[in-house]
Amino acid sequence: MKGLIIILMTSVLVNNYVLVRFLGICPFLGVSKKLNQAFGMGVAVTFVMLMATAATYPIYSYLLEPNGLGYMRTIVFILVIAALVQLVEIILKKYIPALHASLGIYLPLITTNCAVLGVTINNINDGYNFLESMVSSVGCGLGFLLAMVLFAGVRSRLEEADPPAAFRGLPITLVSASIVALSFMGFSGLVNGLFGA
Amino acid sequence: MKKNDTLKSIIVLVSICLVIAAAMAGINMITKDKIAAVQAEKEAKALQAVLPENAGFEKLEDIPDLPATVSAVYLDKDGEGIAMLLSASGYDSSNPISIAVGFDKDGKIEKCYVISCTGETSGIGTKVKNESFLSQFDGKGDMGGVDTISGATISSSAFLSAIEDAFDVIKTINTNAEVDE
Amino acid sequence: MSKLQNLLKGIIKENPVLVLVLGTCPTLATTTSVLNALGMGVAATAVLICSNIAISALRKVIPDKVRIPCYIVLIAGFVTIIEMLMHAFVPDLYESLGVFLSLIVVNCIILGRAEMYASKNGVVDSAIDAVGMGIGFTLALFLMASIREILGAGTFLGFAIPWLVDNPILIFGMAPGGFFVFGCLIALVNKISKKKNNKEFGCHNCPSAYLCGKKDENPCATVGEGDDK
Repeated sequence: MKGLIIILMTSVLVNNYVLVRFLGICPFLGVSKKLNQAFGMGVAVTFVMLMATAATYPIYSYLLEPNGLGYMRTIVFILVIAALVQLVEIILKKYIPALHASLGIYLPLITTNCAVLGVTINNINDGYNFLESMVSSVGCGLGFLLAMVLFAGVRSRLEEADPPAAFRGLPITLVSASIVALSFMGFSGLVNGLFGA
Repeated sequence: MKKNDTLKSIIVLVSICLVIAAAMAGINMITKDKIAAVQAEKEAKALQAVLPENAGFEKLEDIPDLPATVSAVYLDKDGEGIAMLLSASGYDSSNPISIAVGFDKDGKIEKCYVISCTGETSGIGTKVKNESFLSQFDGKGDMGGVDTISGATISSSAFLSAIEDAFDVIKTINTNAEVDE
Repeated sequence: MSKLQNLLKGIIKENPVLVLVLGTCPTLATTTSVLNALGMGVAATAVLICSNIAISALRKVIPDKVRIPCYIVLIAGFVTIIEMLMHAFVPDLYESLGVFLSLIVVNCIILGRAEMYASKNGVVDSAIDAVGMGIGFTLALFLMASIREILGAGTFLGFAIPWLVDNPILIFGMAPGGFFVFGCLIALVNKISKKKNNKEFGCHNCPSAYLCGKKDENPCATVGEGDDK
């Protein structure tokens, strides 16, 4: 149990995918302008990460690895993720249209999101078992959501700011992302401090 | 017409998959041995660095309760020196610090050697490679008097706890040896 | 467009990183040292050249409906091949790039060039386009890594620089420094090119927007409309 909590805390705060590991920067910068959109994207990413891990982990450990096909994982994972996203979209559209209306538009964008492929590959690299992988992907998703929501808050303040002309738009967004990332560095000793691991 | 289109799509996609899979299998066959050789050479070099006066190494299998940080234990065929390969999870858990450590017959550290620490922040966590950090372990029989690097606490404390685990293993091995005698 | 112009556009006018703002993840993550940046740039360029040539050669064979899965399979195949070759011949670089090597698969630059250029142009033009874009990507990474390594670690390609090596500004090597340097570089590019319309990061320059189905249904297009209030 303690191990699982450590994995969760590590992936949400210490090794935050966006702000520490630089995965999934595109949606982080692109869809963080409005709070509700940032939240929708974050939830959609968390959901897809969880589904993707649930699908890719068994494929890798029971199909690829025993047959010495470990090197095929990148190609298999990306295809599984792409197919999964399509499937989820179709199912949501048909059975839960309300959810589809709020999350559906973000789903296609996620196929080529490196955070999702990254989390599936990292789970394998870290040698996690199935449960640990699932916890780690929920953690990475929540970390992504947290970063998105926090950054959306920061950006709403930026609207009223008046930076030098050359910095307007993307550059000032990146500089503020830098400051948000700075605040996440404060978490770096957290797990060691709490659990003495 | 429509049916033909679908059929064609499927055929094209499947054949592309097959060709790519075949190409990957081919390249894998060529590179597999080379990758294994590179890895083995790296480990041999590290073992040589931590126990310079050795007569070849023999890998010790079935050591009970091997901690997760200790990936392999080698016995010097000649003397009673023992070398270990450690992996310490520092800044990036999927890219751990890879360490080799050599013990003399009294269970004291002869030398520590960093095989790779590419997951650590360059210029900060990579300080574990510095001689000033590594040399503090020389001749140590326990963890007394060794310190983390200030400013690089995560990487260096991961390093320390891996070494601590190695001490545990060496104690187990030595106790078992005494029982045998 | 002449062949030379085709080559140069990727380096300056349509630089994938600094002007089109594509492939931000590897740009930020692998520029902690110059060597890593060059390795990443070369690996991505190799994949880009292979995939552009293959996709352009197969553009008449691949049916429109399944083109994206086909591209993804081709790109992922090339990435894995490059990955295995690097593991065998430059193992140190392979280890330091880590997961970002596999993630070249989802690098927007590669899928973007496949969709926007290679699927519409001949093999030779596509190859030239790939070389240009690859060099542009590598140069941008090199520039950013130089700044970060010199200021953050006081070294350049591993060689110590007097004085700076004793007084490194560590933060440049870490995550916040990555965002900061990238922001400043883009501001510099804006200043030099004196662009009237300031860039806003959005899906209009992300090739995935084209992949998201019809461009008009693209969520980011509607995101943009509500912004001017």
